[in-house]
Amino acid sequence: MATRRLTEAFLLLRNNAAQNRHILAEQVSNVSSRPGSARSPGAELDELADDRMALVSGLSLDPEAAIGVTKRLPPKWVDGVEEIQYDVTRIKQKMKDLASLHDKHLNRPTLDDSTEEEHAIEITTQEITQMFHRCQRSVKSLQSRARNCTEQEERLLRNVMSSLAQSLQDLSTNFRHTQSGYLKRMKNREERSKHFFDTSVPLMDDGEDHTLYDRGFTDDQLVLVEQNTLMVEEREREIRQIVQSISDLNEIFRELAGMVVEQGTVLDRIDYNVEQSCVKTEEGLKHLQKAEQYQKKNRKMLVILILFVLVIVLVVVLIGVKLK
Amino acid sequence: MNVVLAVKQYVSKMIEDSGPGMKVLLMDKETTSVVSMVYMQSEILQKEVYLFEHIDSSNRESMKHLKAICFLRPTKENVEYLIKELRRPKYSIYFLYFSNVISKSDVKSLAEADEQEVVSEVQEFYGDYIAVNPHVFSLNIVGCYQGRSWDPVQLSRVTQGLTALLLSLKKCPMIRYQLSSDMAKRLAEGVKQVITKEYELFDFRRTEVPPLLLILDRSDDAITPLLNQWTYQAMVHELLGINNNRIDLSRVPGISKDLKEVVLSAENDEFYANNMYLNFGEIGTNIKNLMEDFQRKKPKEQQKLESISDMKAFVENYPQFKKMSGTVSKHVTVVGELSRLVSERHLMEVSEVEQELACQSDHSNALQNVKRLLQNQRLSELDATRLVMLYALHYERHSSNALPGLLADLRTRGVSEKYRRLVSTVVEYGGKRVRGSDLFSPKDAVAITKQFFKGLKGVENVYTQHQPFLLETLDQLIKGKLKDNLYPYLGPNTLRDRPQDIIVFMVGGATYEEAFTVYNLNRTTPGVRIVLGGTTIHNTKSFLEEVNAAGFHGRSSESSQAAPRSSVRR
Repeated sequence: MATRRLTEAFLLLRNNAAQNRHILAEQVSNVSSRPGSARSPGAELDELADDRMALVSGLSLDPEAAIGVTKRLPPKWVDGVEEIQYDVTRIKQKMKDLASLHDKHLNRPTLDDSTEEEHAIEITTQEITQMFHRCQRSVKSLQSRARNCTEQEERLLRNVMSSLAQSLQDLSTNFRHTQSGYLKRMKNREERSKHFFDTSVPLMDDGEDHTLYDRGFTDDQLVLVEQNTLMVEEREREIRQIVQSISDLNEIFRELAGMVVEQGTVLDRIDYNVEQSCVKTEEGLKHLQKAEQYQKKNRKMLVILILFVLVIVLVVVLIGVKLK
Repeated sequence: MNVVLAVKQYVSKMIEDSGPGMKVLLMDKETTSVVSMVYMQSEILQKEVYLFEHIDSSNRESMKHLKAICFLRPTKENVEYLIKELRRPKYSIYFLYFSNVISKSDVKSLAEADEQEVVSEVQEFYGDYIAVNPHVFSLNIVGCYQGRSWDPVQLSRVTQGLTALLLSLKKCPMIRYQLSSDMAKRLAEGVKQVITKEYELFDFRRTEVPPLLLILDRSDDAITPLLNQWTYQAMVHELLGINNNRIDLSRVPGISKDLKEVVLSAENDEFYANNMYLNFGEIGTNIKNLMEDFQRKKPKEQQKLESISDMKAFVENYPQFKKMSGTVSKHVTVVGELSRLVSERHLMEVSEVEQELACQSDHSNALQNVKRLLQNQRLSELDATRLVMLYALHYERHSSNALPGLLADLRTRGVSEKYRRLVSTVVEYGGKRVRGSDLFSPKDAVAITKQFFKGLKGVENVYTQHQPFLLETLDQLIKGKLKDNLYPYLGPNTLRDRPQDIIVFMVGGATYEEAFTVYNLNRTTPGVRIVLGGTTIHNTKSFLEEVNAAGFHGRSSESSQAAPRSSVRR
């Protein structure tokens, strides 16, 4: 992958060219200011123009440049795009956090079974889901702004949207994978704990004198059972929440899918799209020309009609005059 | 030596260098093709390139919030467009990348035009060719011949393309060319000239064995592009036509609207990547497997998404599923159309006779078969003509040559004048007088015994007996046995060792059959890496177009031209 940089040469040449222009401009101004020693207001104006020219290098003479200055402000939706991009990076960060929280929760369970970690996971999950929602809403709102802009800007916006939707979709798929992975591991763990729970019961009535146990559990055992049920409930609640967040994302996902261009199709080809836009502009031009023609025709008809009416009126006047 | 990767790296670097922010990519027609072959739009959108424009489209609006990356060929028109653009810049900042060496004077005039100082980078990125596969490139030029010499415009374009390829792969090669072709020599000299002129560019780290550039001429093997093909990629190109990896299916009866044009790219279509070099029968089986696999996944999607776990499964598999459904419908359509064409045009029978014409030397049998097929009224015009062409090429000097009779048969079949005249033109183009080497009958003892054993063993597949002549050439080259008097070196140095990195360029166009051959060679010979290129990639139709456009004017004028060259040949 050989390359060659010509930037330095270019910059040098550009500076030279600028200097040359400058010298030329000075010479011209010198020539123009010399002959009239008494300074007329006109000459002063000239000089003013020259000054300005030197400052903004001929910009002011260019009518379009003036427009260019005002046009420099990007359309408003650009800010929206930046916001979404920022959110996307934040989602990424949060997802990383969440993954580490998951790991911590599953791999290094503390003995005291504190709910703090679970709580943190819950909150992060909710935050991510909310952020997805927000992003999706703002992407959609971009769409609504596309109505009152030009054809090219619309194309730009469409591309921006499809790329944002794409990255959101990828992220949400990712998120869903981590969520369902977590879910699976949780379920596994639960089953394992159930296993313990189940085996602990037969262990108890395994004794020879089971008439003693027939009457019920001891208080200790009762407490244990209660605790276990509590734990199972807790787990179930967690799982339900995760499932809920998945189904929330489902909706987002479907809406985004509409905006994303299917990969690998001809619609995803750069050359196809460029050709298409060329065809479109050509068509537009044709339409415009046709419209112009129609308009011209209309004008002609109008003139003919007016003349016709005029002729009739004049004929009537003529007849009227003759008759008198 | 991966050309797709090389071009892709150029484009990625362009985008990276311009920093964050929304960008527009300004291209010309050719660079658009170059970029589209290596990048899909969705992929490039992820890098914040949101708009794609031609530099010559007149109604671009001013969008100062965009950065412009210009990737252009350094042609006169493009420089003019750029000057116009820089005088009235529409975008905030410009990064200029030229796909080849740009002249100092052009840089100067651009610098003078840049009064508002909007340009921030000017570089040469040598992505000046179409990367078709990792080991295949093309320049998409049909019609480089003017008689037997170069169209001067095309010669300079091809030289540029070839030097760009060398630069992008960082190779400063030794050059060998086919002596029998004046065009190959001219091109070799052109490339050498550029290398000497831009010696500082070609100053790469020396490898132990220098790379080799071998320039060949299509006219040495006119048989290969005339054959029907049976491997997937080659077959699609032969029957449907591949244009920059795009296939036009709009003429297929009963095609649905979103399959009117499809993309077959090994880069992002796994099925295609795995199957492009397999033959038609194998593809049939694989398509069936693909379908079954798809069917298994399908019912899940069609069920109502009732439970949450259904929903979850759906969402998780949806992107994959969607991609798969696109792939399945695409390939099923393409293969369906191929098999329709095969049965409609009796391609099995035609191909069998073609292969026999190309690979065996049994004149009476061949003639009989050709005559028999010419009686078949359902044969297409093109297929009938190419059988006669193959016959004419093979048995050109045979004592009982029955070409006039076959031509008469063609006439009674109602084959158009244009096609009938092409038969003699093709012979003119690739006949025995032109060929530097013998396509059909082997000369040395080794080759004869090889063929004898091949005959004994019998052929595995009648439809794929033919091996392009390129295989033999490359085989000899790899073994270091390629004759210096037929393929001389340009310049005094010769290669002592066996070559490792080989770039083959085919003046007048390569074919996908040859691409397949090179692919196999790359796979089976360790330590050797071959890249194949051509002025274009031919199927029979485009090849005939090329030959037709070369404009041979009958034998009389040609023979006077050919006379001095025959002395050069040997």
